Amino acid sequence: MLVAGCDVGSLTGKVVILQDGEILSYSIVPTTPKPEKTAQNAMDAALQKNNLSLNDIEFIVGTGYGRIKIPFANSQISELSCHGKGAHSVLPSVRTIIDVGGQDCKVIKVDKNGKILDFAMNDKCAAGTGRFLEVMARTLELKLEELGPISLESKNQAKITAQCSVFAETEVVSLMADGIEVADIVAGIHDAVASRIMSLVYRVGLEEDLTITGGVAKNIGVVTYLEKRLGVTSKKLSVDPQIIGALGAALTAKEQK
Amino acid sequence: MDIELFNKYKKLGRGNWGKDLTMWKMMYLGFLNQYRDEEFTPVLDLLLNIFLDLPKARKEGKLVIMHPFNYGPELFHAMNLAPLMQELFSVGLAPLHLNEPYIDFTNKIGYGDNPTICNAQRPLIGSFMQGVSPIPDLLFFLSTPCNSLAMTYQVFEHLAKIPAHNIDVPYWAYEQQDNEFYDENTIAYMVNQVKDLIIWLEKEKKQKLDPEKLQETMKNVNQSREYILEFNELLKTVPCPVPSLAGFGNFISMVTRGGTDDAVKATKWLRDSALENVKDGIAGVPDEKIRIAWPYTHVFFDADLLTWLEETFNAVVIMDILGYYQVLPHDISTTEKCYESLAKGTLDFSMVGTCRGPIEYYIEFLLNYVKEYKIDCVIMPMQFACKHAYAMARVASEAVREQTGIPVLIFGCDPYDSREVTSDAIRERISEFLTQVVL
Amino acid sequence: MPIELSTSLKNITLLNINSIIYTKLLFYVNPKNNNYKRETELGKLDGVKIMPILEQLKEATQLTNPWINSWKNEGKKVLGYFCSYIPEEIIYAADILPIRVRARTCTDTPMGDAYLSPTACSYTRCCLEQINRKEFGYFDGIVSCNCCDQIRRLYDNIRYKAPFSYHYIMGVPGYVSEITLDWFKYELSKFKVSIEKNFNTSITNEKLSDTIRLFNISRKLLKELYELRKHESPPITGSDVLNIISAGLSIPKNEFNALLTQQLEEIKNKEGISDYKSRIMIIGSMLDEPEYLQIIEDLGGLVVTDSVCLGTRYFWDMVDETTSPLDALGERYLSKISCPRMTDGHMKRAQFMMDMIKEFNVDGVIFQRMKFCAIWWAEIFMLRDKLKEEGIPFLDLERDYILSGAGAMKTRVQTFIEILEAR
Repeated sequence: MLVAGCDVGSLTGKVVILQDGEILSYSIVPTTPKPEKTAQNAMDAALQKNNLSLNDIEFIVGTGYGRIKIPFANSQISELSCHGKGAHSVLPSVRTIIDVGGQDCKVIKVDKNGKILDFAMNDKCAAGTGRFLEVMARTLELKLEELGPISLESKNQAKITAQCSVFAETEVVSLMADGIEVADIVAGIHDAVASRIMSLVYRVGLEEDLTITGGVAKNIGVVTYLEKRLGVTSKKLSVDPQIIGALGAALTAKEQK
Repeated sequence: MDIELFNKYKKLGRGNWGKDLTMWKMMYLGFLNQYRDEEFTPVLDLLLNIFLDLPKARKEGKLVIMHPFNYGPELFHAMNLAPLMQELFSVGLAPLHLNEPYIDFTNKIGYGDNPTICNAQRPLIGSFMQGVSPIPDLLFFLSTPCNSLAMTYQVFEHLAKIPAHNIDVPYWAYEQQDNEFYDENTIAYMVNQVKDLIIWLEKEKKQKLDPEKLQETMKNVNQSREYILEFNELLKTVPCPVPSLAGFGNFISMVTRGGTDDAVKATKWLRDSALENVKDGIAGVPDEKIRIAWPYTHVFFDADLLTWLEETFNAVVIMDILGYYQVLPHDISTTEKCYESLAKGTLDFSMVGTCRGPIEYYIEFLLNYVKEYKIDCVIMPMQFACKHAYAMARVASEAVREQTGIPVLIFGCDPYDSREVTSDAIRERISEFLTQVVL
Repeated sequence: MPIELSTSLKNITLLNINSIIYTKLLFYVNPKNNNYKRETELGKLDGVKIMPILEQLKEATQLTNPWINSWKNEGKKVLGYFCSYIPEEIIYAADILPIRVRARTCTDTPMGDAYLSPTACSYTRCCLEQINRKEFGYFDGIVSCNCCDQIRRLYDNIRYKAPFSYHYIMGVPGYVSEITLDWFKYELSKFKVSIEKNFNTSITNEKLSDTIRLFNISRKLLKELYELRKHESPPITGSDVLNIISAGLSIPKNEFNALLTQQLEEIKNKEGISDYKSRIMIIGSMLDEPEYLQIIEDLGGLVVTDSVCLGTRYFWDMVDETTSPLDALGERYLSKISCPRMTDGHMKRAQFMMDMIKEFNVDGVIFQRMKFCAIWWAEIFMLRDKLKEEGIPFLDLERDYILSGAGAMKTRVQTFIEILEAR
């Protein structure tokens, strides 16, 4: 039985195709201004990998910021439920999930069955999200993927005090002008992101095991600084952390079929 | 940090409040930082006495009652309770930035954020949840001037499970009542509430109020009030005989030890110093150039702001809204009259008198201040979370500009948290204003 | 053509109601059904049976509506008021229509931001803005009370920046006791004298008693409406109930009672709503936006009860018809199901919430608080403990007076409902 989950986010679209409950293929595509197109692109990319067509998929569940606009979805659920389910399926011992996405970050508390107990979201400002890191990478003229490793080279972390990411950008520019080491500035940026995420964690409460999902989970700097602040090590997932939402949606599709 | 001073009150450690005591030491340091250039004046002695008395109170079995910053504790002194003014935390710890971890903790547990609930009371919740704040036996609060106060005390009551009582200060729209500040009905209402309060205290204390002790206390209060009124008159001289915000000492005396001999001593000392300086022609700020009205609270976290103003611009800040203590001495010949005096004292106390009615109260206060004290400019550092004050600022400033032509500066800040609007930002705003507009 | 006529009439009424005198008002309602039209003559509303009651009630929620127009045409006065602690009966007994001020048409608040502060409650900022833009030109005055800091200062700013011809502010005590009740009755008598003097009228005890009876009928009817929501398949949604209550605050009470009676008849025999996922209780402050509840209900959370300003707190308690009217009003308005601005009522409010949850079989509570509202933040902070104790799930939402960022709200509400479903 083939089912699929489609997660249309703000920076990327993801599709996961399950065959009898196991991941058959998945895709991550950049987002377009139209959620319908993003969904289509993601689905096509995932289908192509096994030469499948849309008709082969028996049930599709949509999620993410653009979930209402997915034309081929049979139903849609919130991305928080999906992240909870997806993370739990890969790591049954998980109890706290931090999802740092392109434009929001969420903390989800689940029970031993992967059901959500509580959650907290920040979707009102860019501080603590992928967007913040993108802006900073541009300001520092670095590639987004380079940021994480560079932050770990810092010997003397700079302090970014501005609460708002727009003002933080100004602060970074003046730090650069003052001749502060790039690695130190990047470290400061990562610590600021971690600090913003921390306030969400406090609202929900931390319980191990902890895992981090979403695109930003691939940034070793954010993970390190977050773990430092939390005082616990996060468990790594055996699948790409960026597709956890789509995986959860696909698992829901399997249930709802 | 002054090691001698620290050693001096290390002795405060005698008491069974354990961790709580660190708070007192820190607060005392905070106050000392503000009055750094002064010797141990009676005001500072008074503060020392508070911090000495409270641990003693526990030992002696005195009940500790926590009350807000706009209620004079004379009744509590008369009934032999140990009053603890709650805002001492925020005000005392702010200059050392030591209340900030507690503000952060209160944010973390999800009680309020910066622009919603006032940071004068929030550190109490944070420090309580961390087990660091002294826990009183009783709680008392007013419904005025603001919601933050009433709500935070209720939350504290809810968390700490202490018996609480409150007094409702009636809203009085005097333009609807022939421009009087209160009538006999208001006094009767307040007296009834005072009697209610006394009944509640007697029940908690299991002891009756001693009418003689009450009269004695009220006599002290009357005496203090006389000194303060004289002092406030002396502030009108040009140049001002005392340094910036010296009158804050009066407020602190009355709100923490009002009714005791300490308060009489402290207020007398302030009046005497001012009188002497006027006689000798000494100015509090040498070569005074600018007289500033500051109709809100001082920016507590910036201990050097006033000194900076004095040194950079030869500017003296005459009074803040808390130092504007305008309670008259009352007739206290009988116990009933004492109750009336308590009632009137509640209605006219700092920041209750100006905020318990429509904006006219505040505008009257401000215009009176500006005219009588020969003010050159007005600076209003409004707190974001203080909704009722911020919403008055613009209309009040327009009234001042229309009627006196004096320039007004309004800016937003948080007097308790240095990270919201930094000292540098505040000094920039004030410099800009004073150099471009006033001079 | 019918559509154009009704829109242009709406424009005229918005511009300058007082200067137009109608002897007959002809307009087409519900443009899709072209054959329906309604005639009104000097306040007599006819053709109630022709248009669905709910549509009429929705029309009544407009800030300027035909009922208000008729009222003004008869030369009668209208007063705007801001809080459910103000006894409407006193105003109504003087033959003045009390209208709860709602600023639904506000789009941005530059003036409110400047005069009240950008971190003031958005309800007050929107009200100041709309009053300044003369949206309420047909008010003959405003009545307010010291219910909270922001409303207090709104009153001051209105008087200085956008005044009406009559202003009054009443002092409501902060807790309930014999002493404060006495004071509150004194305040009410002063208010009564002010209305009488200013509008050259006399409010007799008889008129007051009659008005109290009229308002009690209203309250009884609304309670009946709420009773129906206890069923497993309630016949009406929360957003429609909010429309009904908003209507009641914008038209004369006798008209409202007539419409509501008819509405009750209609829905008693209606088939209930059964395709919902969970039963929700909504708790919070000034919510007058049916679209807000609509979002929750579209996601499957049927709102079956509430504790909001335009909900149970408005009508739940009756006024005693047997004692002297002013005393009865004082007692009822001071000791009714309280708003958290009353400093002593937290335990009672927590109990009321639990009673509602039991009686209406509520699955989950959604708190909605206005940004920057200190009172509700503290109250919810305390109520959460009670709900955690009793094991009732809740969702804490922050909002602005005018709905914005619906996407963010939808995600949270959807997740909450998914949590409730999984229990």
